[in-house]
Amino acid sequence: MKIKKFGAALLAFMLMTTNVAALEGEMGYFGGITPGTKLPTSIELAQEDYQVPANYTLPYKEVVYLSGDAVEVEGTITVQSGMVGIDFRAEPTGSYTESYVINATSPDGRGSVTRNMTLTTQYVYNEGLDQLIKSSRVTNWNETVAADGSAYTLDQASSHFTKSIIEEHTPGVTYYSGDVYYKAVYNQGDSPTTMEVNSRIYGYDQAFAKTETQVRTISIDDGEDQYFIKETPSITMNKEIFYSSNEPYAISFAGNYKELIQGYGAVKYDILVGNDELRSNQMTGVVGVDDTFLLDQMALPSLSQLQGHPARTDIEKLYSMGIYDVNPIAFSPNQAITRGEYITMLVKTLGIELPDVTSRRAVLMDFEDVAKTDPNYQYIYAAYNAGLINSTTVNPDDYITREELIVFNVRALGLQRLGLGIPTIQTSFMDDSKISNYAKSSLYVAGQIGIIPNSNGYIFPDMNVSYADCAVFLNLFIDYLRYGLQKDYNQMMML
Amino acid sequence: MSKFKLVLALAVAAAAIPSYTHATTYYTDEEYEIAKQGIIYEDKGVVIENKPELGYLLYRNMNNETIRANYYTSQIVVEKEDLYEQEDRIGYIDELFPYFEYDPRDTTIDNIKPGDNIYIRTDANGNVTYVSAYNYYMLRYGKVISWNMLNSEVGELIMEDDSGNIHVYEIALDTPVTKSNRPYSIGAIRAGEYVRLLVSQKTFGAGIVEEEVAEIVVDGDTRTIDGVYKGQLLQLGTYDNTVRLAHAQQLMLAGWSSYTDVLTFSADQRTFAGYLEGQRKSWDYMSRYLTGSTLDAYVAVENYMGQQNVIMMNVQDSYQRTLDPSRVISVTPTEIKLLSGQSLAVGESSIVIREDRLVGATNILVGDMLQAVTNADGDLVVGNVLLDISEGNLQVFRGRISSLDLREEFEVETFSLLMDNEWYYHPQPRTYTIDYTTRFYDEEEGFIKDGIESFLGYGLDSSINEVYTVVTEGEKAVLISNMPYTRQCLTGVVYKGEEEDLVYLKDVYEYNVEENRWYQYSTVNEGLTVTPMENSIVIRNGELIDMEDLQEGDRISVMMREELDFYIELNGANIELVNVDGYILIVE
Repeated sequence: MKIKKFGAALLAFMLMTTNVAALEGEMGYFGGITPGTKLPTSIELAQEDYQVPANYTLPYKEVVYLSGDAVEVEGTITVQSGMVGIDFRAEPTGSYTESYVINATSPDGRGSVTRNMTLTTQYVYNEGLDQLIKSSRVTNWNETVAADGSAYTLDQASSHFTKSIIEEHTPGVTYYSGDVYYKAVYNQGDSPTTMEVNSRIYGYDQAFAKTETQVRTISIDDGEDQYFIKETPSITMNKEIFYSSNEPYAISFAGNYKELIQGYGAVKYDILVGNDELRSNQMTGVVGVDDTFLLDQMALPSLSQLQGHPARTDIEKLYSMGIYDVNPIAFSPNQAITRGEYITMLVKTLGIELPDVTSRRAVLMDFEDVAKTDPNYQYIYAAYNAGLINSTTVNPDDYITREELIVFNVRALGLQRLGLGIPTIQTSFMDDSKISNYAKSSLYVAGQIGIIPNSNGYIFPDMNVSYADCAVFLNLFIDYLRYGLQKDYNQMMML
Repeated sequence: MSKFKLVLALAVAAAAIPSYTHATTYYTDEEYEIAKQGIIYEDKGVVIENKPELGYLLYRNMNNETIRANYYTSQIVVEKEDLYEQEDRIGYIDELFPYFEYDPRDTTIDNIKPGDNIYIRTDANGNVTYVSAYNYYMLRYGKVISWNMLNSEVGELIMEDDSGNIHVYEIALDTPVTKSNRPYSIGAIRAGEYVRLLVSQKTFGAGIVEEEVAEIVVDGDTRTIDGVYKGQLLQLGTYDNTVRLAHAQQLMLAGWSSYTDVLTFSADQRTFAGYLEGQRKSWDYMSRYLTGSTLDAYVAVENYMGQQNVIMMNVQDSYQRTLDPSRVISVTPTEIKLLSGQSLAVGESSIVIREDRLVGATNILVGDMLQAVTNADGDLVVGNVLLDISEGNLQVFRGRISSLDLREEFEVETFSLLMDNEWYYHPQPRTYTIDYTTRFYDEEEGFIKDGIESFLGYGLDSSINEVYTVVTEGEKAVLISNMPYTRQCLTGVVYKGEEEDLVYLKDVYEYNVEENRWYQYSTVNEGLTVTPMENSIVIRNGELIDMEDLQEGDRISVMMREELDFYIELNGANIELVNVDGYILIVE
């Protein structure tokens, strides 16, 4: 039976796209933290005129070490991103201006920071690798810092700042890393105070969460005393969903899911060499900042036939997110899913940008086995553009197997690198011998990062995937995007 | 044969001319011709067995075939990538040409172990000439359930990860351990601490995986218990992930603190552990049935990422009692007995805090000093294991300096050691080292910056013949103060007063040195205040601390210069509390 599509109400979700470029810079480059800019809600993404904000002001905290002690300041950071709106694929080289204005003071009056920096950033986009390289030079930098009774004014002529970032775009996640080095020379007292900072930057941005973590080493010399500090500022913003049931008895729907978007930042510091008076318990610390959340309701059809079904919650979540759109009346959890259907689901899940296939200027792609009239055509085309599929032969009507599904999921995360260097050797699954050679590496990765449900050590790689099973697989995958991936960037790095 | 299999074929032609050994070798004509053709024989696989003494290794190759490869131990070139080598700075060049710079990857064949992934090259006869080995590493993060030394070489670490999976590792005691970017003793790992493990993973067959811990990073006290609170459950915020307690109190050493009308904490619904009368309950259950009730909720609040998060809640529907700290004299998996006579049932719902970490009840040990909150059934609701180290490894003594070697050490001719509030004279010399960590205090200036530079044994400011109070740890002086002789002593319990720069004491007793007796200061428990001097010493749990770090409920001894009567007289008819000068404050 051909499955009927579930109304046009969820059409809006088809328009969801994630950011083309990662929004690094939301915490500045001076060790400060913010809660980050909000991920767009589903409703915002559904609007035709939705734009990622180019300029924004966020709550801000920073720890100042110029006196050899940790002085916490809080205030705001205003960022003019400069890169929002640039289509790197259309303009593979170019430049833009980014600026950061920070005003922060400590509640106990021990310190303050006033900083104004403008950077000119040049970029080169490598289409073959889908990587973007950005390099920034400072064009204006004014800064005044107060710490423990001393005032420090930046000597811009003697100071130096350089930043370079590389981004890699995978089908579902944009990862980036980079380096910042700066030498800030401050006029204070008789001799200048010099602060050298080396910072590694790591981050990612995707539909359900984004995280950026910096690993900074700070060396300070005021002519008389020298200090050395390591700090790890990190910000994380993610989307969660919650179900809430309705209390009135006479209401047409029992409840629905809600989407909640909230961010927080934290900086952990270790003063390895500080001022002599510091005690051991004053040499480490964590400072945090958070914000208020955004809340959106999510649509949910009645799926009374699923009462008691073990995958009911997972299926309902996918309906709420617009990933399942089969008419709920005709929905059968045991129906097997085709490759074409799964590719469509994955494109929706990841918010991959859909190509124009309807206008007169649309450039259509020819697939061997996907008709342009196929309802999944636009999604398969999007998947091809994003690198989720590599061939023009898609076999869209074949039922997808578990190992194929997992290979898609790992490819969507761009984490094939974590797989086995020797791809055909051995995974730890009990039915390893049933796994196709090409899929072993991806299954190994999926097992390591926890996006495979535990089935007593078996994976049943060649088994078809029902809607019920698919809901479990996809929710594990989405949970990894919401909560799991960030742990490598904050929990693992902030010890 | 598929394209994929072609890649895996044993013999692969490559452009590079190989030279596998660093030593100079002479080719025969035949070997020379082979080398010139640039034919290399290579394979990849996983080591099953390696027998250097017999000159062979078994490995499973990419076609799942088990291959026996012979080698000459003396001729084979072996490289193994260590996890800390970020980049092979010599790289392929030392395989192309003899290269004698230090290569950290160079090793010997006996270091190739079962489970290692290998890339090998063989000569035309199939003898292995080159092996490069590497391992897969993964990270595991979790909470230490227990850490025990099994013998002088290995210990057993039981760890629970975020998903509730339990991992058990035997870990070599020479495994690198760091905490807060500094090397850390593996023996100092404690239950309740969070650790990140770098794990080398080797798969030997279906379902057979061997994991070896290669490195441990201990959380630098960024994830510790901020406190245990009691209150009535007002709200579990489903959307904002909050827990609100009404009429909340914090557990202090002296009991429960003053009331706060409403206290709000964060909570993670996915990791939150809630119990009602010993039974595990869901967030939704507690939100629906327990909020707004008059039941007492006890919560353990963890500080993580700069936020206060409720990680465990124990709701009780009966009378509770907070016991004075008492020594644990007996422990079973379900019950503990206290020296004060109580027997308390323990279980997974018991909130047990040890060294600022939430731990299982099995971490309560015989000999521990336990502050316990119990319900009417005698269940342990909250157990706070108190450290009673007092001075620990620190010793306080006074001595007259007889010689001083700048920035190195000093000697005292004789000295008096402070023990149990009395000075004991020792008529023999003693030498202590000093370094950049030694802190110097002066009566007028307080802390002396770079004090070691002015601690001289010569000149007008010579310290020779001066008397100092010194805090030492072993042979090292950690603090040197020029405070006066402090023979008088009192003890009391810290409570919170109005002025921040004073220490408020109640339950005060004064020690009479001549009579060796303690006398109660006030029958109405009026208490007094202590002004810590600029050059005072405050010690708690074997560490020097600041006066501000003293906590409500701490029982401290205070060494003073004068008898208490002197200060009472000084106070005269003043209605203020009597104030004494405190020089040495030790938390008992």
